[in-house]
Amino acid sequence: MSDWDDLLYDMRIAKIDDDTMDRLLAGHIDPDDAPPGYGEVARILQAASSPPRGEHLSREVEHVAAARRVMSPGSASIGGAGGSPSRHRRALAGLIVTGALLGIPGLAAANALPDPAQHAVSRVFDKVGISVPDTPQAPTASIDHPASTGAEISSIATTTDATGVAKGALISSTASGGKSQAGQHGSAATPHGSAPVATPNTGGTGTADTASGGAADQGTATADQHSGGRSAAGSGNA
Amino acid sequence: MSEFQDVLIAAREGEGWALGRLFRLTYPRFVCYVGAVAPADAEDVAADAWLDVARGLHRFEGDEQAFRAWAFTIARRRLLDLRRSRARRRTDPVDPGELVAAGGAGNVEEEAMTSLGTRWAIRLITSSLSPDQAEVVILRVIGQLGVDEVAAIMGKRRGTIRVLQHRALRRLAQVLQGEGVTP
Repeated sequence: MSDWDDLLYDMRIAKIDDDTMDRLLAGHIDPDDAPPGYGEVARILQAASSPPRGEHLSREVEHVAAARRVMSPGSASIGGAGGSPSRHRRALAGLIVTGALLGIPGLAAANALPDPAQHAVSRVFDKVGISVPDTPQAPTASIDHPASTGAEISSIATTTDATGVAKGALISSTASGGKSQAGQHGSAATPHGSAPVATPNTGGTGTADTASGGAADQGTATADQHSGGRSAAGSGNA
Repeated sequence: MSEFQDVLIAAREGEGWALGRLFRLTYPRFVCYVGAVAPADAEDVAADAWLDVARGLHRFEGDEQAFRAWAFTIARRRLLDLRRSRARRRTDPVDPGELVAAGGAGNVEEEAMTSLGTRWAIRLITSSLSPDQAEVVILRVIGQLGVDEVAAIMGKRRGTIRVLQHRALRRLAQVLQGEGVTP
């Protein structure tokens, strides 16, 4: 547009005072009654002043609910969009963790947890001086084992005066918390005997062997008896 | 006590009907105001501004006009936050001449009945005017705010706002006439 064109357009656009300007902007001047050159401006301003309602108000319930949440006394009141869904999810996760931290001790005190959990919580609380009922039976043999460390077994094996069957029985009995019947039944394996069937379960054989200094031949018979002949325990020492 | 004061008191107490009234008074206008600058973020920014309004209700005192000014101050703050993060004024500049042609200015009255007409009018304003001029017009038209209130919100003097709005409407008139809209 040239300067000449600008001048022509300006000549068709009236100068308006502040009051007319205010009434135009407030939508109080009908386009047909607007000053020369401002008819379309009045229409544009009227169109702009009518914000679409339906499409925004369709989510009114959701937004009002969010507002109520941020207005509630317990809600975060400073900064950010505290009512946004993501923040609510994080808050919920925090509540769950807090609830778990508060709830588990209560359930433990009431002896209402599953046995392994009850036992674990009992041990933890016992360390800090809080008495919580424990399960009557330890969940695994190793936890309440009378000789729960290899060092103790090793000490027996290296310091006892017992020898042979008696030594093996002592070690076995200690290691099993008195449950072992080693040395009480059956007879020693023959010097050249071997387990009749190879078995993957050779657990304890090495331990007994090492602990007894190779003299735990009596335990083999007991193991063999209790395993139905499938145990190879101690067979290498016989 | 005015009806608006009743609404305000009830809204502070969390009454759904009252919060709904305030929501309808503010949110659609927030969307238009923010949408004039950042259409893609309009609803998110408007939602954040609405929650800020809700948070601050307990400390607001005044009539409906003061409430609008206060609410738009909040919305503008949210908009400035967005603009700082985006570091640009307009996200999608459009040639005003194209908008005039596309909008069918002869049917503005009919278009005004639809959201399309509103959006078109706002885009024409923002595309035709400088950022300051457009913001003055939008705050005055969409926010239904007075010169003093707009001056306070934008941090400018009253006389500056007067000059900006005069230039803005004259520029709009030039754009619309330049496209041959007015017979």
